[in-house]
Amino acid sequence: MKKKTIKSVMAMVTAAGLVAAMLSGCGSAGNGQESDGMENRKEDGLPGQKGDVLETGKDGGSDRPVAMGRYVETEIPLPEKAAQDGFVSLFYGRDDKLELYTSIRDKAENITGVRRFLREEEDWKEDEGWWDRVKPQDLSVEIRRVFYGLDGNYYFSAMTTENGYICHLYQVQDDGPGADMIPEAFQPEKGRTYGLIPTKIEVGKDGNILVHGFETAVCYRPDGEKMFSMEKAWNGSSESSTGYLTEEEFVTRVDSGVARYSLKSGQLIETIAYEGMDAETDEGLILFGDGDGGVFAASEDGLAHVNEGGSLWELLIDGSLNTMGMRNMYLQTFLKGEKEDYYGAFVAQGGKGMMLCHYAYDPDMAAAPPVTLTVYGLEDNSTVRQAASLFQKNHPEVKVELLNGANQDGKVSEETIRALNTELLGGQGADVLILDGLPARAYQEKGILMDLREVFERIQKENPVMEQVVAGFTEKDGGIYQMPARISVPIIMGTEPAIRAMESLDAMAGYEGDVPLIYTTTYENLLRMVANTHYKEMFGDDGTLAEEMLVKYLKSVKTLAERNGAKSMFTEEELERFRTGNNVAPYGIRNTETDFDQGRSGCGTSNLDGMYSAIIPEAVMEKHPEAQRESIGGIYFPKVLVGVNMATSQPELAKEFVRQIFDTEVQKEELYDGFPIGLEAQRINCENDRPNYSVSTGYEDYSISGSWPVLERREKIYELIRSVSVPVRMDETVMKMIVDGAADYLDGKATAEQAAGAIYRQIALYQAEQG
Amino acid sequence: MKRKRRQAWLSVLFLAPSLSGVFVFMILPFVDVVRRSFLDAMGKTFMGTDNYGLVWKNEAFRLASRNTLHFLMTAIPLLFVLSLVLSLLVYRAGKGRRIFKTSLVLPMVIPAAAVVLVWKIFLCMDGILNQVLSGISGEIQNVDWVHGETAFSVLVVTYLWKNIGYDMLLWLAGLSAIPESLYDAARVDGAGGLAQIWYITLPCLQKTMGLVVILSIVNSFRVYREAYLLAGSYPDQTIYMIPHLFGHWFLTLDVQKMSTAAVLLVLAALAAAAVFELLLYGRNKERSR
Repeated sequence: MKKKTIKSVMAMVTAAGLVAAMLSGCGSAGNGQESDGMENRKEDGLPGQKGDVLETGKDGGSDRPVAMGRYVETEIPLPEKAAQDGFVSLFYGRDDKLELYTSIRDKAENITGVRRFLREEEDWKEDEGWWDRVKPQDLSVEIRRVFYGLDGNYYFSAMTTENGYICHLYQVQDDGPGADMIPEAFQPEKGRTYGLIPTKIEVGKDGNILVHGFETAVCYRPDGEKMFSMEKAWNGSSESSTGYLTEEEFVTRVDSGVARYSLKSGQLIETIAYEGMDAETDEGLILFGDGDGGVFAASEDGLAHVNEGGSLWELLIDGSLNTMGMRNMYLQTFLKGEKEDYYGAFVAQGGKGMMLCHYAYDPDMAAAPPVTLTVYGLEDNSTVRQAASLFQKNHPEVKVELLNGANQDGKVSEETIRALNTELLGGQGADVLILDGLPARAYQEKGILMDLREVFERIQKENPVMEQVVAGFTEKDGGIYQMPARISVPIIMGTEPAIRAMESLDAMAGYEGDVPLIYTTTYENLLRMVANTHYKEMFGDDGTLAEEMLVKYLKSVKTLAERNGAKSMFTEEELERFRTGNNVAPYGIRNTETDFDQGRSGCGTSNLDGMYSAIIPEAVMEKHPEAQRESIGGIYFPKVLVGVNMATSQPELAKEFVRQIFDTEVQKEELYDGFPIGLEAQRINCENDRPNYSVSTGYEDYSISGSWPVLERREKIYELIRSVSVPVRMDETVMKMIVDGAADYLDGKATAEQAAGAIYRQIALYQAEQG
Repeated sequence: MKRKRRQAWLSVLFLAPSLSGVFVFMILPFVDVVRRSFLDAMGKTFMGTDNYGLVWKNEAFRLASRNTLHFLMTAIPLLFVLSLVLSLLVYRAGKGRRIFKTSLVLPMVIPAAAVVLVWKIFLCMDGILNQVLSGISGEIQNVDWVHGETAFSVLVVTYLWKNIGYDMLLWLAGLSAIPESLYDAARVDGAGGLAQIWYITLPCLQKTMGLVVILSIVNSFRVYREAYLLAGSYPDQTIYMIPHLFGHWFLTLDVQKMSTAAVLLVLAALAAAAVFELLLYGRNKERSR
């Protein structure tokens, strides 16, 4: 009996315990908001950052403990004389003084001289006449880099500007021009006018010279004898190379992380994995030593450090909080200062303008800004990054956390959107949403997005953006729930009949020229291009597609395909022969201006998303004065669509961030993701001349090159940009249904009516779901 | 009496953990689903019965419901019969019994993604099936088995292939519970094989039948995974099922429609269960007379 009682009690306790455990899992521990606040703070703190002192009362007057200590960026004024100069080098020289070298440029951006400045007591002192003293007397050269070798000598590398493009390394002499070092290493092969163009040159303690190539670094003795070579990650830029020398080692970036090589044997000592390092895109990663065997890695993500023998990288400076994370500034050099401070040198996009920043540890600053504003998008967008960096500079109390929903390969699945939807349904989710690729219309209809009409009323008063873009995204009731920060504009160039043929599906099918209207491409690109460029004709104002229209569209595409020899996929031999591609171009619009230039098609198409993308089309236009250039039906593709989550707990801050995105400060930057819609930014960009910017393309016996368009042409381009008024946002689900359904017809296995019927049924089902 | 009451309390206490789990994770969410079916998408505005009208008239919902029902009515009887036949064959098989059993159960343990890959290799335009047919007919066969009119049959075959082994195991369990003496007696009385099945096996398997039907219906809802992996999120209209619709509604945040459709489906299932129960009740009553 007693046993039974004990068993019963135990059973009861177990049951009660299980119930309690299950139910407690669903509840929140204490005040939910408080808990969230602490979690945020912990996440925002930099891992392992020194000085993780917990203090109270620092967070907006609350008593919650806050981790203290953060590196703070301050801009160092540059020498007045160097205001218009280009950046050459920054390093600690012989007297442990910071030395800055800048290049003097003429109007055509050619380097005409070099200035040397020494940092003395918070000021710059110029070493006048330095370049005239050290430059070679027998050759006309253009400086590339100056550095202080570990052997205690100064060196500079330069390229000849006459009789070929050959690199030279000079050792600076105290009493005259520099001495040419290992010239044979850079000599061109027979028949060539250029030799090895090293990405970087360094000199070791024993005077050995390390020449960084694109994939290897080769070590030479001072007499020019080659010692050994060491593999490094591929580096395509001729301006920077990630790697540095110590007395005994060469440290560089390899595909799997950071590698240390012995300078005695050239053998690999170890590779330290660098989490998140992408060998293909991290060309800008700058490595330098800490003097104790540890390695620093500086990039747009910030400054990370690993101790000698360690494997864990510690993020010391969060790049997203300062200039390091800005997309319009390129990090050139990062140095360790005399104390526990750092210097970073940046060059503005296009090479104009440089910036020098100092990073010092401030123990009284919260480790992370107390307020976090989250921005969610499906890609790492440069405009958003730029806006986030500037926003944080303007609001030091705010950290803008950029959340990228795409996976590591940059792909977005339905699961990604489902995960976001789950958050949004729970009244959570990011404060600001970048709606490119997201079901923005559904979010708007369901009340997820905030009405931003007041924000844009203010923007239009203070810093206006294109009126027709705002109108295109204003609902009938005046509400504005999303707005593109940038746009891309498809253009067509060709003779009058070809351009007119692009005006309708019938005209397109009826075009009869000696060459096809559109150059050879895949069926999918043709289907996408025609659907996007004739969106209004096909879908009307209400976005519905009639079956008869679908038949007409398919027949037009088939006609185009038959004339230009389009296929579902080209073989390697065909790709080589036709000079085309199997990849799906954005909106199906391939840049075919060079095909028009070669007389292979009646017109050329191009999708302009910045002045740089207009260079080749403009070069083609210059060659063909008979040709015209127009936008296609006045359409444009909205990019960087911004919306604010209705459930945000900080609506004013989110709106402020939206204003930042549309501010001229962000809009004026050419970030390769579309033209700005801000009128002032357009004016600035239009006036912006980049005489040293040029683009070339070609193959075999064809080539074409162009330089930055002159003012008159830039004005015409912006006139064209300002003329577009029809936003096209093709529903990707519908587009996929069309592409899949049209395959049988284009391959000749079904009639246009059969294919259209099948596609129509699918689209009808899709539309019925939303009904 | 006191003891009985105490035992009843004890049983409730033992059931409490699982019951509370069911309550927290199933009953409460379903109550929320019912609540949301009367609200707008974000659960802020009361919509009355508007959502029910909207979903009931929705063509996509009707198509998905029809297809789901069509699939159940086709695949489950087929599975029921084929698995029973196979189990009888395996039960009576001699040496190869284990091999048969294992090979039939094998599809159950293969991950759906791998299964679908194999099916795709077999059924795609340039797949093995078309090549074999081309070889036999002498003409090039380019039938798109997955995306054309044959999609429904492909899905049924996929479902049968995947689930037949499992159902066979259930039948085998039922068969092994039938005393061998009954068959011996029947044989003595001169009953043949078919007569033994009709008069002994089937009546003795009645309880197993209920279990097989219920588990087959439950498993049939999982066929969406194969349908999705085989033909994408917008497959041929004959295999467009309720989970397809729910998936798309969730992408566009149509939670109110999902909730309403879920309530309607539960009501339909309850109605079917009630009819089933009534029929069973009537039959038992008749027997007891």
